[in-house]
Amino acid sequence: MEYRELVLYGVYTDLRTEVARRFLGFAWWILEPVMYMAVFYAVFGLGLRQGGPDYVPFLLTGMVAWKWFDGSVRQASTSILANTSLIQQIFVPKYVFGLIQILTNTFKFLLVLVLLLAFLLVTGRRPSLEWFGLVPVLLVQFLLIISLGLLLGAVIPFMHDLKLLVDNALMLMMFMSGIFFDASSLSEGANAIFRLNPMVPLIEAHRAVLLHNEWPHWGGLGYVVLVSLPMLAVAVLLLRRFERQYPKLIY
Amino acid sequence: MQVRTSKARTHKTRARKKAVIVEVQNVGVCYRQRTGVLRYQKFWGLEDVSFEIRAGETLGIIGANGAGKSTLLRLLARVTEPDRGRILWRKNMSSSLLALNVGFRPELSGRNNAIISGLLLGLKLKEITRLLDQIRDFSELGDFFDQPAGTYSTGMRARLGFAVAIHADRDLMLIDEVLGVGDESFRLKSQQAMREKIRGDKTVVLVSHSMEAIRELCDRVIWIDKGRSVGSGNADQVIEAYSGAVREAVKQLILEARRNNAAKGGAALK
Repeated sequence: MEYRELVLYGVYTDLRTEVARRFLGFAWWILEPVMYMAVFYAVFGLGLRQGGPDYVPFLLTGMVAWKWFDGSVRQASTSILANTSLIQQIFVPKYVFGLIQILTNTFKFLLVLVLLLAFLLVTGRRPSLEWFGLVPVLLVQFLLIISLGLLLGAVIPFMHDLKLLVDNALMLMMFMSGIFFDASSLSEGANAIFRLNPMVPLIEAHRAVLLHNEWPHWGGLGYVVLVSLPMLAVAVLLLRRFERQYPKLIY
Repeated sequence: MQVRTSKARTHKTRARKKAVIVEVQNVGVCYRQRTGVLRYQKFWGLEDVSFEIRAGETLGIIGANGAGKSTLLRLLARVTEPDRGRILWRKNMSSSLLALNVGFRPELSGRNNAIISGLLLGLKLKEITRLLDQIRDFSELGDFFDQPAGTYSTGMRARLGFAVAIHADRDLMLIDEVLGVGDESFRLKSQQAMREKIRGDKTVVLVSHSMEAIRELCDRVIWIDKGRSVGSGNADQVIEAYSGAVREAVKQLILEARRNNAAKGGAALK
């Protein structure tokens, strides 16, 4: 890939910039997600009294996976707009900007994931061979993130209004991803619609591996791949077709 | 109006012999303008521009504000593509705008910023690291080179940007009014560097409102008016025709203002 160096250096400088900008530096990569999750624990765990004794690991596993998806897609979707002045002066393939955002978020996610694994070990979970099932789960989720992130990033410069829609759609998707409740508690009809959301099988897969020491449900992962590939194809087509139109669309 | 005379042909015979590397043929660029909810209007920023660029020459572009000069530079930088007409390029040609401080990060050091700019301009990481010492020397930043660029003065920032841009060697260099960078001594130095590029076998397209700069640096000049190329040829002649047109337009404006004032005065008297 011709622009590999640019993408990697972009990720490196993004992370460096974040550290340099904040008083506590990279501590925020850990503090911020912990605070975010504490809020939801307070609301759902303490306030609404959801779940049983296992609710904390249940919630954490779901939130960590969700936050990776949410942060990456959100930032990738506005990545072309955020670089307006740059793309009007220099030709850079537009996927570069989305990819930088996604990889930056992925790096931060991996840190939090290590923390989550440590938490699970400390609270008495034992790793087994099935934990290797996490690798395909992460790869499939990465595919979904890239597909949706690049697609939204390619479309939003044409319709800035969509940005507002995306914010709320992601919020709806979060509450409909089974992060806060177990899907099996839904009625059959509701469950069918609920399962269209590709984050549902992904979060279930994370939990199957880490909390129940089971292999992920392969059919579920297959469904996510099937949803992602067409989105990725459309994103690549759009970005190619309009590569040199974007600088004229935004000003 | 075509300002092509026999003098233009004899003036720069050196440039005439060189091969054409870019050919711009009846090019137009259309922008989309929002005019209301769900409504857009087309707007042609460039209507019909034709000219060619030959290897090694320095081509000046002049014209009033809004004539389409920047739009034209974007086309030549291959940031955008024409909506009508076409541009023929010599094979494997690189071109870029001499853009100062693109992708600039105030939190990072001058060194890191130089690397970002270099990568954006299409250099490989290896090439940039090899050039870093030269860039540091040229920018005269000294120890500041490893300090956060946010602490730089405007002039220092411009110097860094210019140093990177001038070291990123492209086949075709596009310059948009950046000859006045930094303080007096650095300005002389940057002009010197520009001139070396221009005198060497670099192909340069220069957009400027300074007729002295154009006259001094350019072999040929293109005059753009309201999105159309209305004149091309030897620098002195095109500049003269352009200045004449500007003087005429200003005269008209003054006359009109006088007439308006007179009309207003008359109305007030009644």
